Amino acid sequence: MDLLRCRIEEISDWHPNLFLEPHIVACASILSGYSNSPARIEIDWEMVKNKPENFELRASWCRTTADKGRRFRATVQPHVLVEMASVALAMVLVHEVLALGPLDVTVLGEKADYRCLQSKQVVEISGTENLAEFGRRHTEKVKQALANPFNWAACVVVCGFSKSGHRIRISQHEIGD
Amino acid sequence: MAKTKSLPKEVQALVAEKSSILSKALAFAELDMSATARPLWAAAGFKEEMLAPLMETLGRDDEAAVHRMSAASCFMRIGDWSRAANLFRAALGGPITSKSRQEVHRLLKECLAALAKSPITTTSNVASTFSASQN
Repeated sequence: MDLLRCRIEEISDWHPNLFLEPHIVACASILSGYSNSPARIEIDWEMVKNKPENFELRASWCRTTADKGRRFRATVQPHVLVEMASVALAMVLVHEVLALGPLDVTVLGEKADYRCLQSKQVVEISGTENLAEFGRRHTEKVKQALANPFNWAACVVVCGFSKSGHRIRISQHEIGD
Repeated sequence: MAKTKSLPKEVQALVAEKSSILSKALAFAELDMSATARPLWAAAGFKEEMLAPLMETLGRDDEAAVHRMSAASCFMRIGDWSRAANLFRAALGGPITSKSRQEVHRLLKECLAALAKSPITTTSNVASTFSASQN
């Protein structure tokens, strides 16, 4: 079993162009609602080239972040926390496993698009606390990602948080898939 | 996965600065801190607007169009409908996908409808608030 250990706070250093502090706090807030640090997260790879086999992520967070997370939970809507936490975990994988390099962010209407600056690929991220919805959410996000304004390939990361165990499904798609 | 040609250093720096500002605006907006996000939307919008023709000088017309759409979306967030409408209109002149074209037409229509109903807003005041807070 390949094991990737990371401190969730590290994503700020890995993605210096992006403001990720609230996402880090949201991630600690969501994960600490289920277990102590570190949290085990299973990864499903779909259509990812050179994917690692039997890979597990162990994400940890420090006490200060957990304290901020508790305050966040009291003031921020749950679905916003889940989406932000998912961005934080996606940022771990795109840096540590897929090595996508620096990301740019643009907006179209209400929707934010992350895209790689080194390869023609956008990154679509989402999350849910309802595992029954996990697969459908992933399918929906693949469709949305492939409709990106660049007409580029897409990397889709969907996080599922639950008592029975956390999961991330990560997939890469070419236009026309 | 196809590689992209790397951007000149000055443009890379501008993209990085814009992403930093825009990701802050997005985060504050998600956290319902719209007053904090407002000057950030304006500042990000201006950077996106600057990036669009720079991308054209590099032969990256598709990216130029995306930066114009993004600039327009930033200005929409602060109710600068006329600036947003101009940028959406300009983006339609670029090589964008049919799905994006549909979305831009929808957003342009939304801007024009809002413009018809509201007094004219100038973004420059909002952006200067951001610049002053950075100094």
